[in-house]
Amino acid sequence: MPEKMTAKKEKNKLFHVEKRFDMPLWQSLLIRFGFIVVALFIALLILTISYGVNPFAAVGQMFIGSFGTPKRFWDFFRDGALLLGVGLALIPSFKMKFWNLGGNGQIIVGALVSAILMIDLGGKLPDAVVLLIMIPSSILAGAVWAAIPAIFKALFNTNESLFTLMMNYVSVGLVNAFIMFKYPIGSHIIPRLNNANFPTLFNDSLLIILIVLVLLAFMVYYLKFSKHGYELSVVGESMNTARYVGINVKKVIIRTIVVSGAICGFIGCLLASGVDFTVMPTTGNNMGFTAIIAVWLAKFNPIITAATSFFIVFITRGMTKVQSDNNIMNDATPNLVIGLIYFFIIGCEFFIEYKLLINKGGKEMKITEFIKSLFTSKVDKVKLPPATEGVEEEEVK
Amino acid sequence: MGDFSWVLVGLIDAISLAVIFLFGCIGETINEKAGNLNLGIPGVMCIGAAGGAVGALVYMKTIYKVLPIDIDAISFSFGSLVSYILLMLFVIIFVTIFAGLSGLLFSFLTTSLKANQNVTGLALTTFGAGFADFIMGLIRTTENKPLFTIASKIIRFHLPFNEAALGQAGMLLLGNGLFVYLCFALAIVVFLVLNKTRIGLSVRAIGENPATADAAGINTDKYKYFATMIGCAIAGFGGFFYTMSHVGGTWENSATLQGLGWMVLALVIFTVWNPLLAIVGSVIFGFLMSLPYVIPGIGFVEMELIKILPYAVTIIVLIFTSILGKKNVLPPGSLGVNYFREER
Repeated sequence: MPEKMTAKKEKNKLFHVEKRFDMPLWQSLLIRFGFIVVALFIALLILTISYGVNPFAAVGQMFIGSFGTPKRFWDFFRDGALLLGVGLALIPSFKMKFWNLGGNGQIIVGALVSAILMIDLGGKLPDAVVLLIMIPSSILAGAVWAAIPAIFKALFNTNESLFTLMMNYVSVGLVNAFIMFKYPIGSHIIPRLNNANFPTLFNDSLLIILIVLVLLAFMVYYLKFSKHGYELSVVGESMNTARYVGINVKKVIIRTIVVSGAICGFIGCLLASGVDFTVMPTTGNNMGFTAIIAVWLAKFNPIITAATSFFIVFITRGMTKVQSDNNIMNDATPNLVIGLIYFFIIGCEFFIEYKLLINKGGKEMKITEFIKSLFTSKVDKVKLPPATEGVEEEEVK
Repeated sequence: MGDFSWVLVGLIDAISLAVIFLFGCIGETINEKAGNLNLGIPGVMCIGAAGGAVGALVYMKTIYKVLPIDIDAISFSFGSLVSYILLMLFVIIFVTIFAGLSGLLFSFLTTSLKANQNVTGLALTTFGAGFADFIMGLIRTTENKPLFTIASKIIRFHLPFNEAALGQAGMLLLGNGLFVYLCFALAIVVFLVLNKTRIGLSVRAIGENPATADAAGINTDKYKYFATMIGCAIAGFGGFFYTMSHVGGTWENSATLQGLGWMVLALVIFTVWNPLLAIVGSVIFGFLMSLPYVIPGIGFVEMELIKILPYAVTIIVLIFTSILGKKNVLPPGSLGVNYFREER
């Protein structure tokens, strides 16, 4: 048995890592929650020590920052929904193991095309007509922006993470150039665009939230029940397997990334015509990156992505409030706290996916058993061998 | 023919930017050669900037108080050299600790805890930017700000040449701060270590195929840890050079430095993972960056389009190398993939 052999070779090492398959969902959720609480605790401790923030008040301020007023409440859900939308766009490409780091750029070109049409056609044509042109155009723009690296990936295996990353900065440059072209004089800021704004329902946010919910339903269907979803997950698991079962790998890569970019382009359209009413080099506020973390934490599951997206938005908005309430002048707090929480969640995934076995006197045991053995061994040495033998049996199974 | 003196002005600017790029590029190249696609490099550079500022402040508050030797750029004295060396000593220790620890964190998460490298890198960038802003917010009090300006003057210390003697072209070659030449020398050293020594061979082997390297008896984890930590420490100096020399000891927020950090990732591709080419590449990138500001009578739109050039050129290089498919210009084989022995 090869597994037995590696185990023997590892005997002299203190730790031994093993893949785990059997953790129940509630336990993994509990671990994640625990790590988040610890991370938040540390973050608040840092703020308390350095700026004298009252940690208990800060927790309250975080909730007020997200839900305190009706406007904040709706903004929270709108921002969360938009982040979820970008996450949904990225899931298919990530499931295919195509590292699309270009969400930012795909959003920005979508927003840029929308803004151009709002400026050039808005007021000249009826708003509804402009919107009907605008939405497909920005979807197309996002799709094209994503398709360029995808085609090179499919044909020449060009590294997609680096390519998409570069495309982000090209798109930012295009926005800057456009602004300079259209508004060469003054402060180089596009004024609020009042024509051809995205329609609203009850308030500014509700329609966007509903659209993203529809998108969520679509993505669940697309990934779980459609042939496309099946094909892309096979390609992600193994390109060779996909080839053997007769999947056209190149086609699947390009098609999936086009879907990804199209949704990003649409989010860009929503941002330009329904949220910002303009386009800026910072449109999207790095959501393309934030969403990567959101979907990765959700293990590429669209529904769990909803939870992680709203959580990230909650922390960001909450920490912004904590910062302004405590007169902290630099705007570092949200980044610092979010970064800390990321590290803790990223780290805790290890304990969910792998089992850490500790080597003690040639016997491997789980951490809990190791700790137990530390206490029992001194009191009662006879009891130790049966406990470790139990583990061995479990492993053989 | 027109007047091309602006090229020289651009190049002088470019050298200063090139140092930031080159430090980052050398660091990231070491990271990537060992198979770690560290997207956290912008964050690492921010952390390095914070470390450099803390180091400089510690020097100013301790030794400078006793031995207040200011540096007048033209006069060259033994005292000013001592002052420079002492300050650099503090800075090097602090930057290495700060940025090195961020590398330790990255490699702990990706090598030991087997976390996804892209995600960990992005998290490190978020954290690093926040961390740098946070530290700078704490230490850059009104009382301390003049100290940073003085420290920056000391760091810009250069050999006793002046423009009258050398002319602009001469200044371009010999009039830079000492640190600039250290940086170029470091690139050569790293190139030699990576390509001519056994250690370098092991690092490259791990980046190409960790399973094979492991079978050949190389301790992959140990090498990944050290490569990442050393790489991040070096990249951190890019951040330090940005705040303490390029912008003269000021700090607005981490956004600009972060942008330069992302360009570093482009530069690594542009120079096909070769620290020697990185010397040329970083000057080219620096020149492209300064170009919009030095070309006389350039329009706003052209200015913005020129700013895209570094990225566009990088994309072209990326495509060409992948079509060419020659081993020595391709990304390391296992770039971005973690190695778990039992999953072979």
